[in-house]
Amino acid sequence: MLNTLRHNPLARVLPAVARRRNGPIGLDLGPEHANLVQMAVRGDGARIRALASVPYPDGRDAALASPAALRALLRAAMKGQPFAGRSVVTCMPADQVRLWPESYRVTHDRGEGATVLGLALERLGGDPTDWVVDFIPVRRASADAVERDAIITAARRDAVLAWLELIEGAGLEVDAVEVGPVAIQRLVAAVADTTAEQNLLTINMARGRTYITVFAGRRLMVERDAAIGEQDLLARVARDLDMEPDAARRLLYRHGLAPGPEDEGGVASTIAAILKPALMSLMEEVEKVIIYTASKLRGAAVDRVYLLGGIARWPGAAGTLNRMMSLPVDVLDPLEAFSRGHTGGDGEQAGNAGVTIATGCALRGIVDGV
Amino acid sequence: MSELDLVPASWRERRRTRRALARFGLAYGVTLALLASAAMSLGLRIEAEAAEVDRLRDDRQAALGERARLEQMQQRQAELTRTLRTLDKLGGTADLGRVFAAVDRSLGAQVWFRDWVFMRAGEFVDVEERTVDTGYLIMVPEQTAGERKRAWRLRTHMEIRGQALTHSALAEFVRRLSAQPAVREVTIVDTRSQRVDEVEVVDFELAVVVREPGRRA
Repeated sequence: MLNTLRHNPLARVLPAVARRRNGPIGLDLGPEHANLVQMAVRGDGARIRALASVPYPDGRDAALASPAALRALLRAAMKGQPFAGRSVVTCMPADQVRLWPESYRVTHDRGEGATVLGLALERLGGDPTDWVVDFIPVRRASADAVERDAIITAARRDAVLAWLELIEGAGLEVDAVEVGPVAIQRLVAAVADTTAEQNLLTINMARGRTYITVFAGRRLMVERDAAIGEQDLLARVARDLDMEPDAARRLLYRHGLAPGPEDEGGVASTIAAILKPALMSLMEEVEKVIIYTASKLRGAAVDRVYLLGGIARWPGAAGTLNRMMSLPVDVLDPLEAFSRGHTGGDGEQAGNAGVTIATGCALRGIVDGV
Repeated sequence: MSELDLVPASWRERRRTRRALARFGLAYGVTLALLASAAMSLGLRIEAEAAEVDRLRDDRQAALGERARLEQMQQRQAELTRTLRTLDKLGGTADLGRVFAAVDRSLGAQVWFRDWVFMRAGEFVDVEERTVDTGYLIMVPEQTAGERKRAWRLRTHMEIRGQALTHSALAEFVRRLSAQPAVREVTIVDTRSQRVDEVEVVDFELAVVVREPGRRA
């Protein structure tokens, strides 16, 4: 739920002050793009104030090699966009973070935090001071339940400190460092047209991997990643149709997977046929997650599926997956949801998974309870 | 609920301390710069003011010297003025031309002189006994305490002996002479008739007190 005027008592007394608020800059340094999004809260809700998604000119490693290089990149990215302030909420790179669900029992002699931390360190091993650990409690059947679940996030301390120094050295102030699923959870809570009790599953397809995440009652429950990315799928299309990957992308974004009246020469049907094995493989991974969810939620099913990232831009992808999973599937496009008043985005950015995560980061402090 | 955050609390604390130190350093630097600037400005001002004070001090010394010179000159002027007035008074009583002109204007054809004596005499008089109108007084200095104040009075007068054809001619001459500004008082001392070559004339003797120049009639 968006934290708007309805929850802000200031709005009645000082409407001019209360209606204008800029959130932090959401920063995602993805595999191919640096993505920055900033939200502005107005009386009627949140809108994108500024958005930038720029590719690394010499690759990600070169851009992140030093704070000075990153500063130059970010300065170029922010130029021409009305970013305000220097506070950022960013996500650690997925390969530097460990994320797993953990079940535990709450005892009277040991607090919940200490219990979870003990379990996490037991699993991580080594010196406890080498790790930074945080966790998110998973929704439980009753408030006084002794058996509980949590999503534990851990990263090596030196990696976190290096990340912080890199961002701060680039001239930004780090408000918080979180992980991609948490940012998506916040985005889903802000945008998805669901009730608080529903269980949602998101399929976020990035270039190299696809992240499958379940939110139980708008709280992160589990995330798995599958080694199927948009790049792989485009490579298959390009190979089978004997064309360049960029041409395959344009074809896929134009025709998608659903044959219809505009499907000239059955292009969409052809693409769907090419991608069907990969999508089936992806659905198997999704099915595993759904089964795990049902086991943790005492048989409760996933109520709705949202597509994010590259797959969200394929025409007919939602319908195709709907038929494959027998579940309601919708596209979650942050630019469409928050684009009012913003003129900087374009269709290409909507397919960038990093923009989705950056938008989720930018909503920190704006969305209630996430 | 609190949100997930991987920023270590120790790093936040270190950053807070670093920022506080940076702010303190900045404030310290700015304060130092302001103080240095103020001190430099004050120094320049003091230097300028000291030069001005020195100049004013010199001016004051010069003014004091000029004032002393002025006082000396004023004193000298007063002395000279007193001397001048004394000399003026002394010289004024001998304005013989003025007296002769007065006599000439009064003298008619029926009166002639046989003897004309012009006298200037001085005498010590008590100050209290004289008014300013009775004569010209010169205060005599260096009187001892307890003595009466005395002054040296100059008095110019003429004694005229002559003859007139008639008493009325003599009376007319005396009236005219008394009316002259240079004459203070005319006194007929003596008259008598006598015959000269069968002609009867009137012998007369007059005492004329001359008015000092500048005195009112």
